[in-house]
Amino acid sequence: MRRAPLAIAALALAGCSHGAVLELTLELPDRGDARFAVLDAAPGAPPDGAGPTVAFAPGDEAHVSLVAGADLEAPLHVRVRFCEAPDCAGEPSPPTVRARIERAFYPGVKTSLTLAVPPPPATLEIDACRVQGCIEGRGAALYCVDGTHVCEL
Amino acid sequence: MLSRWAALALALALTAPATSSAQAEGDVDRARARYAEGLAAVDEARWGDALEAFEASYALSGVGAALFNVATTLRALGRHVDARAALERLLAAHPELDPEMRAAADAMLREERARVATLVLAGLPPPPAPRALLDGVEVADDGARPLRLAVDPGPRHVVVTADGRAPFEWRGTLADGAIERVDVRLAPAATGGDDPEILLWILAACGVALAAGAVALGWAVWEADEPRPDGPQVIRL
Repeated sequence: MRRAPLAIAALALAGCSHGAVLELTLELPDRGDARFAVLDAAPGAPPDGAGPTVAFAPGDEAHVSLVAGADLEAPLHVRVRFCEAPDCAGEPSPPTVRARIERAFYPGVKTSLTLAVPPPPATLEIDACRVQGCIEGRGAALYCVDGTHVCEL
Repeated sequence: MLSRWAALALALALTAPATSSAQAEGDVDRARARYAEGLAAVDEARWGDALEAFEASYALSGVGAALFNVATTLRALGRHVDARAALERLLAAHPELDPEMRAAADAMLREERARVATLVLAGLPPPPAPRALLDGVEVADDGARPLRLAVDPGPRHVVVTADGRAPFEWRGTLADGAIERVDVRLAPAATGGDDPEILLWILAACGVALAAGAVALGWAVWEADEPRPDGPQVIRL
């Protein structure tokens, strides 16, 4: 009988919302003075450097999977720093491109976005309707209907 | 077969002046009518209807001849235990009975006593724990052991039940006057299914099993639907 609460809790957990993943593709600019394009991201606020990073070669097409935490609705902030070191160590102010994605994640959905990263410094505002998900197809404004993302319909 | 002279005796009795203030004239009329119905039913071999009519006639008139016809009808129905009881009652309760009818009742009683079979139920626990059913009807248990049951010959079915015990069942066919011993064995109930506490535990276990199954299924579905990263480069926010 002591297992009953556990079972109920597990059932409730099973009924909770799923996680979410954004498959982010970056078309990185070529920067002769940087060896690495270092990417990090954070929900709700720009990354502060404390989170994990991945490094790519500038000029390449980079692909990274961003797995959402608890907050799916907050804007996703992505930062690409062009550095000499793969972790940008000792480089307090490298050239940086910032992007703010209005909404990237939906429960139980794998979304995708391809960004053409401009040369730094730059700041991008990405509308939620540019994030592909829930229906097939590509193109700006394709993923919203009357301002509501199809993943919310 | 029902004797016509018994019918005549009844008719005479019913047409005689009433000697009891309790025997109202209306009752006599109704008794006579029911008796006629019984005779008609006998002619058509409608023994059930005949028995009902004769019993009603006897209840209304109290005349021994009506009870005699009740007994003969019971015998025709194969209800020898009841026929025996009716004849014993007739002979005990009706000293005024015509000598010829009394002699006939005596002879019929001897025949019925010879036909009634006996089931001897051995191994019964003392009352009130056991409950015995003979052909689906609960039998009176006077506490005597072994319990002796007067039964009609033919196929019989006995079921004995007791709290916490598995039901005991016996089937058999008894010949006229047979005495059959039945050893009643009341084994403990196999699963304790009659125990409310055990039932509750079983239900609780089933509930836990169902819940665990639901969790496993839900978890499997949830896992199957969970989006997973495509490539090796992953950032978990």
